Amino acid sequence: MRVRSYIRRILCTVVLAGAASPFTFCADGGQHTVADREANIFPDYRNVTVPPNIAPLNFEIREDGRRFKVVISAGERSVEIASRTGTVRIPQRKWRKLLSAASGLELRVRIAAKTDSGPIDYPEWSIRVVPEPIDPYLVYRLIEPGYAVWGKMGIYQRDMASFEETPIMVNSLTTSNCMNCHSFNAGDPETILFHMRQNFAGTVIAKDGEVSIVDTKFPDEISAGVYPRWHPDGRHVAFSVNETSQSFHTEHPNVLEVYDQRSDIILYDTEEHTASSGGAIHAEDRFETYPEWSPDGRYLYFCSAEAKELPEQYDSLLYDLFRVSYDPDSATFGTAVDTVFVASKTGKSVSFPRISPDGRYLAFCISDYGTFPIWQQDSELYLLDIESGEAGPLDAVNSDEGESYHSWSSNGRWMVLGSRRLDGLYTRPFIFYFDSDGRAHKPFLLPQKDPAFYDTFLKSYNVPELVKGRVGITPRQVERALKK
Amino acid sequence: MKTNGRIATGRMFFIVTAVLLIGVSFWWVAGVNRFQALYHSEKLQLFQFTHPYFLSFWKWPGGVASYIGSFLTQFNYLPMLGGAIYAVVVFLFRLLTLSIARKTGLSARFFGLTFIAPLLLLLCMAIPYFELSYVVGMFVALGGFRILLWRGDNPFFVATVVALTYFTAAGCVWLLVALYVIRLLSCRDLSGNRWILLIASVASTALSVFVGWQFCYTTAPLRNVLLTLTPANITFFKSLYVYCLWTFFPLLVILCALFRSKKAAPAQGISLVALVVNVVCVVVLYGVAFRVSYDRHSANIIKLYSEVQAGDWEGALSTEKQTMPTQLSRALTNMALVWSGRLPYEMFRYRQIGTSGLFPPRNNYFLTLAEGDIYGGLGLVAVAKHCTFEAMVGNSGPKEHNAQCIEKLLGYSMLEGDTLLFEKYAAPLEASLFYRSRVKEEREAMSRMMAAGEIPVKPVLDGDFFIEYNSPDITMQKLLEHDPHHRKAFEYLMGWCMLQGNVDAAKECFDKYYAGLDYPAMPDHYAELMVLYKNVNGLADDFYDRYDAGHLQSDYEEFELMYLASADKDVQRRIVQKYGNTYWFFLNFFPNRTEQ
Repeated sequence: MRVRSYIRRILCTVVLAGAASPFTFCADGGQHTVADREANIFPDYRNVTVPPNIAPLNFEIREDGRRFKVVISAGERSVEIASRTGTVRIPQRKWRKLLSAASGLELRVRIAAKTDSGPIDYPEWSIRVVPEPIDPYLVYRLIEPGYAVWGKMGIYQRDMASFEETPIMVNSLTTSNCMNCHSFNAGDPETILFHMRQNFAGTVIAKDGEVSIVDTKFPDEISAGVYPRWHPDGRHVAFSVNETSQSFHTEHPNVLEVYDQRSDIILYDTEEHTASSGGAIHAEDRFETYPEWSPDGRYLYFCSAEAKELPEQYDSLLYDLFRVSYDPDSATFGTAVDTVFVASKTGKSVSFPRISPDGRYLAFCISDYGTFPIWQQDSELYLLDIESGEAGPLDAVNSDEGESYHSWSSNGRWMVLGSRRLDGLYTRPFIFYFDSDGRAHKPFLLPQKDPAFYDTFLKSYNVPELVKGRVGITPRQVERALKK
Repeated sequence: MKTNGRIATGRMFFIVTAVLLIGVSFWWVAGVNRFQALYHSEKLQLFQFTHPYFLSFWKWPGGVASYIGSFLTQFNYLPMLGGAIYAVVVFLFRLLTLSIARKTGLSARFFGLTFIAPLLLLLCMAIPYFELSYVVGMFVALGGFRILLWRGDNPFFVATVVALTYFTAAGCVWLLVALYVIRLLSCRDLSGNRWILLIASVASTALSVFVGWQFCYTTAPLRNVLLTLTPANITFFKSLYVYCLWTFFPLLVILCALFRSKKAAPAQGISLVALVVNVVCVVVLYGVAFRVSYDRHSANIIKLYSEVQAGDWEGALSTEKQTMPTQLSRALTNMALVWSGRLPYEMFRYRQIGTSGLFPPRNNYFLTLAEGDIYGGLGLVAVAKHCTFEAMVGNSGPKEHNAQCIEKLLGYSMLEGDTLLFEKYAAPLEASLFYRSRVKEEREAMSRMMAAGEIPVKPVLDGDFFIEYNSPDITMQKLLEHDPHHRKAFEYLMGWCMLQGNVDAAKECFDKYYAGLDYPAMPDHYAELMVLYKNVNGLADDFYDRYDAGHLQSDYEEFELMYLASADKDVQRRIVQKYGNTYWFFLNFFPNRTEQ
């Protein structure tokens, strides 16, 4: 009896307390103040540009306060969210309506807090909504940013309009082996490949729902295919073949070095299962890697560096950007190699070249040396205007920590970038708008249902690739194909 | 109390047995097996009160049972509390067993049988890597069975209980179905159509597994879908006790069917003789089982590990004497010797197994972690962090990241003054119940020390080099080249060369660095090394003008003579007694160990 009355008393108190204290911007009692700065929130979504098909930008208010109120408005329409903890979760349906109301305009966000010293209103900020959508899916590998050892890993796809994440393949089905380098033909979800290592070694190629496993290690080549890029014809794939090693620093900001002791580029025919050498690409005293096709399929861009003694000369290994012509009809490369961007003259190195779908811009990473920007703190994203030949860093996008893998949206207006800016170790996907004038806008973190998700999540988002639709293959399909 | 010449096993009897069982369980778990039952399991997980952590369990068969098991395991952080929880779990297990036994008609004469399941559970709890999730799974299955004993005549009800059991405790459904089928086939006075009930239970199991396989656990291998939380699916779980525990219940139900009492068990009394026989059997069984099953080696090695972690060198070196000489126990012992400055004096007082006992190969979680501790102690924080990280990610259990590694990584981030990474590792710890206050303290300490300019700690190196994990001697050499006054690196390198039996390399290292290291006098083992070097190379006595080891020359000569006569058992005894702790003894009597 006593317990029951005690519970009843607590319930009454809670209900009455809730009813008696409606919280408004200029709420009860204390001195009402207007803060001289915007509220500190995580992720930082202040004044970012977003596509009309993005999931709710849930965030945490990292300010002192007992209660918070957030009002997000677009013209007449608004959503009001109250929170005791500072966690702001925007209902998906209301968010979609807001986005459609604000397309081409701005969402205004007002935050108020109720603190011990009275209510505080923070200055309003905005989220710009542009009409160009981002590709509906993002595919990435989730892996610990480890060194030589890994645990659970998998390749996943994330619906950009919601928070749904589904696996494409996970290593729990295949004796915890490594898998890597997923690649799509111009963002086509029906054409995907990725590599499986160790016990189920081979390259998984899925085309139009059919999954096959191929061996891309040819007798005369350095290794099986590593970094892939699909030719727009959907039949050929340019692979780098690399003899890759790792060395671990004892006192260095970069922790470890990943370098190739030999590398080259081959062209793989997915129908004939044959590989041909890259012709003029190959040079005895150079390392070639990171192939990238022009959207019309008539040029292959690649990085190449003068060979060095490794690991001793690891910090003088500098890659430049080149291209070679390609004849799609005969599937052969030209004999002359053009220089596209010389980074080595300024003591820098190029990696991960990615061309915009309209063929005008080329985004790539620049670091002080080497070929693996994921582990290089100084790595920055650069942009080359292929028409004018002008190149420079994307200052609006770069941070103090390393920027690495990046991918264009199929309409060329969005890019996703892997960056370690949050903690210096765990790569997170940042999305940014790239306008028609060739300007990059402030990047924002891929939203999550729980805005504190990234705090405790101990895996990196590796190789984030924007895709034009949902990838149809399932882990079970891949498992079956591998175990056949 | 006596009724009609029989003793009523009433409430008082129940309370006495309950108290005894809880007491014995607490003693066994929190006292005898504290390190492997409590410390180990708690350190290898990090229970977080976060939504993503909760959801991560749902993707895996038996996720609910695992989540509850992990929740309970977190309390092992406070060993007394953890021990109490385990004891209560054992008691509840006995209650469930008793309830099943009574319902299936076990005669009160055999009440001692109901103590066997808790005993087996206690033995399982002492197995390193045993998780409470398995117990929760069994609870679900046995609880389900108990419910079916109560109301198992409705096929839909049966199917529902079976399905719920599968989606809560995965493979434990096989235990439930096995028990239920035995019950159906053995019970004569069953209401309802036994064949329909049997089909309902089996069909529900098959359907649940199929649905789980196709729709719920799409990233789990078939083996896990079928057998998670059963002894068959966990390699380290393969212990006789676990199989016994699983098979005990079907046997109990069969026994109950065979020796079924006509009267309801609770109201029964039993004769004094039966009571005494039962009590004596239970006591003897518990005593023998505890004696036989106690895994001294596992207990001591985990104790040794925790002592080294806590910097209790004396405790570690005393525990060492009770451990088997494995790579891990040697590495930990040698760490305790190096950190306490006793390696050059006492290294060969402890059983050495070769270089792998100095720098262990990274074959498993503990060895990798120990290697990280070694490099951390040598001041190579980045390398220590690397090893710890690899230990964490390589330990690919369902719980993935654990408190032991994250705490270390937090500490290393602190030493490096890396505030971003510190906060990164602080977040999961702060999401736990017991580590959040620790993080708060560390954050405050870090702020204070950073303000005072004490961190980031000054790197031990004035430069950088690539570490050679497979050749620690090269790493030590590089370390000494950068810092010739690095005493620990010197001692490790000397230890490595001596364990290799490479006397020349050891002397070269000694010549190069010893003078700069301010030893008050030449340490014993180094003196033994020099005597050996002098005699092996036939050098003149003026050798001792440079190396202060002449006082051991006569001992060495005596050792040599005894060695030549060591076929004699008496000589063997004397040589062990007098020279068993010397480098000479190690080198001459354990030459094969230098290769390890």
